[in-house]
Amino acid sequence: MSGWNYERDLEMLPKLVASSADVAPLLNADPDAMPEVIDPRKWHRQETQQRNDCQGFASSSADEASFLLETGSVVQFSPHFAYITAQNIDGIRTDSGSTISGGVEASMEVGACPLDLCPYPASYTRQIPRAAYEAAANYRIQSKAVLTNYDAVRAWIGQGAGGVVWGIMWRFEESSPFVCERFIGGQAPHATAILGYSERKDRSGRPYLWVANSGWPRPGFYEVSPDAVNRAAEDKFTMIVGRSGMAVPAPRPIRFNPLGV
Amino acid sequence: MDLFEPLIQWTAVAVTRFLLSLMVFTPAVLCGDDAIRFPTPAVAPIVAPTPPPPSPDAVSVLPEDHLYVIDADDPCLVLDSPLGVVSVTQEAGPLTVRGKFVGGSGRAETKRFSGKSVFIVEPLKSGRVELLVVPAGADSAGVLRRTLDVKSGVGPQPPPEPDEEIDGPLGLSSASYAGKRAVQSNPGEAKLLAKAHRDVANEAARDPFIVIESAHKSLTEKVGVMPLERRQAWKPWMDRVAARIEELQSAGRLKNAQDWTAAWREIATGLEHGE
Repeated sequence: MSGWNYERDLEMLPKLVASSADVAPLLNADPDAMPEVIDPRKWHRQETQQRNDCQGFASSSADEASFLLETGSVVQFSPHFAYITAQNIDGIRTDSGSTISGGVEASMEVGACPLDLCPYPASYTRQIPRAAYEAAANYRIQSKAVLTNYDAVRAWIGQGAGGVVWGIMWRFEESSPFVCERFIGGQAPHATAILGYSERKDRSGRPYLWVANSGWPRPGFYEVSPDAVNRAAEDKFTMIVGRSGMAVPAPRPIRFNPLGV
Repeated sequence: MDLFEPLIQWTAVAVTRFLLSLMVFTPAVLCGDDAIRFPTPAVAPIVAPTPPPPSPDAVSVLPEDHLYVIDADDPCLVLDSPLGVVSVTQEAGPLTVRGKFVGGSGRAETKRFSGKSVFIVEPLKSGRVELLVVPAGADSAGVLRRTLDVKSGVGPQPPPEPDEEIDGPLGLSSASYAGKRAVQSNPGEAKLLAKAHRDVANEAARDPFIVIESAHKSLTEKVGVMPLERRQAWKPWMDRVAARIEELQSAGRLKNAQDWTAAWREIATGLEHGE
């Protein structure tokens, strides 16, 4: 069994809730004031996991969204670094998954490491170069919030707060490949990143969420219906956390050349 | 002579001209109470006794990095007096804008304005300015007035040079205007360049996850409709703006898409000036 596991049994939900940012101001925002569509396929490079490190892929993807918001630039962070640093917090020493709460804490305390300093290894290893830790200290998430339903997730993304990681018992009824209409649950604990919302809308005019999935049942961008998100959010195994406000080094200067000469 | 006499005369002339033009060219449209929406100054939350709602006559503060947005369903004209304290840009609505807003949370946020005309008021320099909103078909009693105290990093200035009176907080409008004056331009070229910058700024304002490099690529494509030799002729303008951008980047003032959105808008303002 590989390719999807996150450790639901070790989650620290009470600790996360206690230190969660207040999302009430976001929820009070007028949904009509949010962008019609936020399409992460414009900037997010699809990745495929080969072990039980789904949380590492989801975490690094959400951190990339935060970096983009802070700098207007795209970077790829290391999923393996996010996986191992979360496992260190969780106290897990084998390739058996990691927790959403451990991943959030790792992003806030240790930071996110650029991919070139900690590439994806051929097999599971706990060895992380010292330079990776040093670089990660420059990319730390500043705040997080436990999100409890579709409206909160959409507001978090639509207001430009950041990306979202969720861990759920992934099983959906799909109306077509990659389009999830109904949450069934109960099959496999899996972490993915919610990075935007699509042009597809339900009968109430609410947009489906864009979910970047690195693994099971197949990697790719999924559109998940608002009802399916709300049903998943009610499931006792679900954990949804928004991340926001990355501290970043000075951005690389951009050359101004609109004339193309 | 009364110090305010020239201002009063200017205002009277401007309003009269506008009212006359409306009488001739537009049907009378009476505005409902909510047809023109102003920002509501922030009110301190949950204090006792409950504070009265802000008076329409109250002076609103427009901080350096904020926008004051007037959202109008019906045709109207917005005049600012004296000139040079704020810039007023009219956009077609409905429009989604990202930024910090008077009456908002104090943080960057995305707001949607549903009116047909959206007037974005941006600070140019510190000082007090009166906004006169003249609805189409309204008589003089229908003119709406709002007073803003503009808090800009730039203090009150002596009578400005032509290329300074349009400047924004980033100093890019004057650089853009000065660069334009160094170019032997053909008719319409400055407007084309200005529109390209404003379009990119508006696109960026609608998407908090915009990639700056992609926006610059889009900008280059829009400008690319100009023949190569004409783009080369505009290089003195670009060099002037690029030098200012380099200064801003070194000072850490162009950090993200929101900063660049303001920059593109200022560049457009400089290009539009005098057209």
